[in-house]
Amino acid sequence: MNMTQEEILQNLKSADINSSVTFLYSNYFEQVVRSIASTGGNRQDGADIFQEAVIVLIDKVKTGAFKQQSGVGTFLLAIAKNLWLHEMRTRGRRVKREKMFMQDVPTGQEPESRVANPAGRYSITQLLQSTGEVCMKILTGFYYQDKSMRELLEEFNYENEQVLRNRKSKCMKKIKDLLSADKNLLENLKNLSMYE
Amino acid sequence: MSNSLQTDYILDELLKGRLTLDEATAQLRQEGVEDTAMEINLHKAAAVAIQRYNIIQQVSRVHGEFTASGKPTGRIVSMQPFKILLRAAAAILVIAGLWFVYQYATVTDNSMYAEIYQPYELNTDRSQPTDPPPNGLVELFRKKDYAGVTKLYPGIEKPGNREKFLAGFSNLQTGNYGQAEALFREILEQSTQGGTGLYSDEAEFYLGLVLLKLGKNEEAVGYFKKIKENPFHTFHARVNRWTLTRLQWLD
Repeated sequence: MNMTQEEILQNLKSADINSSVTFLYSNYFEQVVRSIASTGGNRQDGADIFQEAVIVLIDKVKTGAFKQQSGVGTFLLAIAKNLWLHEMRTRGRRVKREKMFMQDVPTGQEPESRVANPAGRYSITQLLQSTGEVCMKILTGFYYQDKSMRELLEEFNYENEQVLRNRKSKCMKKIKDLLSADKNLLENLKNLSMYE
Repeated sequence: MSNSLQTDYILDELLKGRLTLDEATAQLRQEGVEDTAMEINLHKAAAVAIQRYNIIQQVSRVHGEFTASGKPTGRIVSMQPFKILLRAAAAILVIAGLWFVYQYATVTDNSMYAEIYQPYELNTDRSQPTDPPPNGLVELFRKKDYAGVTKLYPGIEKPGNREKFLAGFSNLQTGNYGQAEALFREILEQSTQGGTGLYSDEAEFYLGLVLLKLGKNEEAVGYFKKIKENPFHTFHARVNRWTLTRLQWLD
């Protein structure tokens, strides 16, 4: 599959990003995984970093922060490189800390080697999935696919718009209640921009 | 509309840009919302979470396909008798030896150039505020009018890295290797003096190729080694260990 820079950006700005994400994985996944494997990581680290880099890239494109100073591929590689350098620094500090404080305490455990960021991804996934399938579909339609209430009404077959609005409002309340209980996640989300 | 429905409606109108922050705040107050900032932040955070969730889901699906297909498959255990295996191994050794000798005998500057070379297409606008105003160079380059680019370039006042690179690449295409070498070196020199670094990956790669054309093989190997050692170099995938080994065979 071949895609031009313009096609990739166009697709990443839309709701269904499957074709561009597949293109990015086909063209850059192995390169990043190998690079990370050759600089002190393993394949799992490489795969995690690549996934994170793709999400960051999509975020930059969707929020308008990607200014096309370089090609999408070059930009993706640069993000992956930065994430990996950051991860290595974090690991370095972690190991140093552990050595400093636990010199005489044999724990029998290796320092944790998971990439840090998946925690955030996991929290968001948990949060949304706990609202139930119907809620996820309504909220996705309204906030991600940018559909109008009228379009959603046709899609979900509710009696009238008022009933649908009620349902949507209840779904949002559920998310807000969960977010209020997870201050870390709430703080992280507050710092992110809405998509254009 | 109930109170909470109306509040949600106002918050959505704000998120979709149909109300300003001031308008939304005033309307929320009318609805009896006391901490409007908190309400707005929470609503926005929830919407951001929904958007990110959809991205995460779609990326995870593709990720799963790629990581699952990359899993190593089981080993093939041969049940052939030892004698046959030994003969096969000997045959492979002979073939590999012959192949190696053939490779050594046939490697030349031009064959290595042709193998490493990658066409360059300008499909990205990387113009900088400091770039000279539009001058037709990019258009000529896109049309692959390399002779036109080399003719136009000397007339450009204060050319930026983009112009230098396009002119360098065009000189490479039209056989003016010395000129191409000088332009690529200018980009790299500027980059080491704290410049933007734009086009430095491209300049390194194509300078390596120009040097092959000029017979400066030892210096060319230096650039390709650098590219090979930097996994994040744009042209990293073009240079592997075998390429480097054969480059070092060149006189």
